[in-house]
Amino acid sequence: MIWHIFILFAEVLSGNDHDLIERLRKRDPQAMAELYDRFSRVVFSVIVRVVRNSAVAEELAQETFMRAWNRAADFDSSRGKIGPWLLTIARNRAIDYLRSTAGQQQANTFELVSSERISLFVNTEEKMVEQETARRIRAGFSALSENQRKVLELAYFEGLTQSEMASKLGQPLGTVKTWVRTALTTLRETFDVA
Amino acid sequence: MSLENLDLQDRPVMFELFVLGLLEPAEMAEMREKFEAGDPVVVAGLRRASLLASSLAYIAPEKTPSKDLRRRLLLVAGAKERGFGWSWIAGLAGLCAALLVITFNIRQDVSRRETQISELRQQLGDSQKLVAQAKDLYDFLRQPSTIRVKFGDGQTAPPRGQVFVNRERGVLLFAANLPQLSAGKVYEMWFVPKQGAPIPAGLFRGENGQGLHFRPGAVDPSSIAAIAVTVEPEAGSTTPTMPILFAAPVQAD
Repeated sequence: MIWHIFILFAEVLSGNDHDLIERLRKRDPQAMAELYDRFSRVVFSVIVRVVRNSAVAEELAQETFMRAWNRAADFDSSRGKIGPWLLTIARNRAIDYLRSTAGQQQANTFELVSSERISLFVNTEEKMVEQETARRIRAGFSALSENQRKVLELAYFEGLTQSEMASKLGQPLGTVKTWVRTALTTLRETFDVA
Repeated sequence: MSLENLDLQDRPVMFELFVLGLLEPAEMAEMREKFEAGDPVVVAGLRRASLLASSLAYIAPEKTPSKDLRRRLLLVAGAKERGFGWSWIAGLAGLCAALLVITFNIRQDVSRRETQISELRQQLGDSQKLVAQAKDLYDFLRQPSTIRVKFGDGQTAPPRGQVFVNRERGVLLFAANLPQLSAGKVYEMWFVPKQGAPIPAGLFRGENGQGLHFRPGAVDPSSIAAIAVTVEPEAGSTTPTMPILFAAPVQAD
């Protein structure tokens, strides 16, 4: 009960996405400041986790926010959820950088740009504020086995395919697929129910 | 893979695998095609999967970017830099001025308090002296060897009062109905010996016709016939000036 009151309080304090997106669409610089203050830490954290270089991570974080700033006009302020979209951009920029430095091109991944499509982040019923999202996903992640956590990290932070994970971990592909599916199912259930 | 052939409970994981780039190329292409075509089931599933996938960002260990990143971004966005320019100088100057005023007030207050403390110490010293005197007089009065002499009783124009004589401590005089002193005059107490001239025993001033005088030091009551008081010049006299205001006879045991 107390937690929900806190969430409500945090939501009121942080404003809502509708108002923020609307001001971003109007290119209000203070909206950019608010967007940065709300998400800079998690954006920077995920990028650092992927590229493992703070200086590069700052450049990529800047690109991430600028991309959001320049594309905010396409966002439907009444239906959008800007946090997940921003985090998707951040992760994609980082994975893209990782692949470009390694000279890798992967044809079988969902194109990074496509995964950022704004249409994937609108019409959502998702009402969780960032703190609640973080709490739930961390709780779900900590409930996974070590192998399940490992494959999710390889997929999310290193952008590896299941075949690449199997090769890297020295495990049969079927085993890795089972770990991944079980991990995602557990995570989803925890995420939805917690 | 065909979504239509999957159980409903298996679909979400397919969408999640898709957004994480973990499907096989053929499955990936099929899903993308349905998404591009606006298949409502696929679009809704991918939205849900995108939320879950993006939330994985929160499992990254927390790091904080430099403050410079914020400044750079806001500059690009056209925001005014926060806390930059001359405003901080004005703020600092205001703070310094406020501190000066506060310091000045504190110094004044300390000075005022020191003066008050000094005055209180003076008052305390005076009070301690009075207490000591009162204690001394009390000791004097309660000693058995102190002789009490009344004078002026029954006179139509008193002064009247009491004299206490103690061999070791001295003589204490209480007097009432004393005449008002003119300017430059004081009362002088005298020991009138049984033989010889009166001996000066100290000057005192009265207040509202009342007088109190203590002449400390050893005295022999048996040699004194009376204690007398006259009005004398401020410097005192070596012999009494007439008239004598009163004379209290001393009768030692």
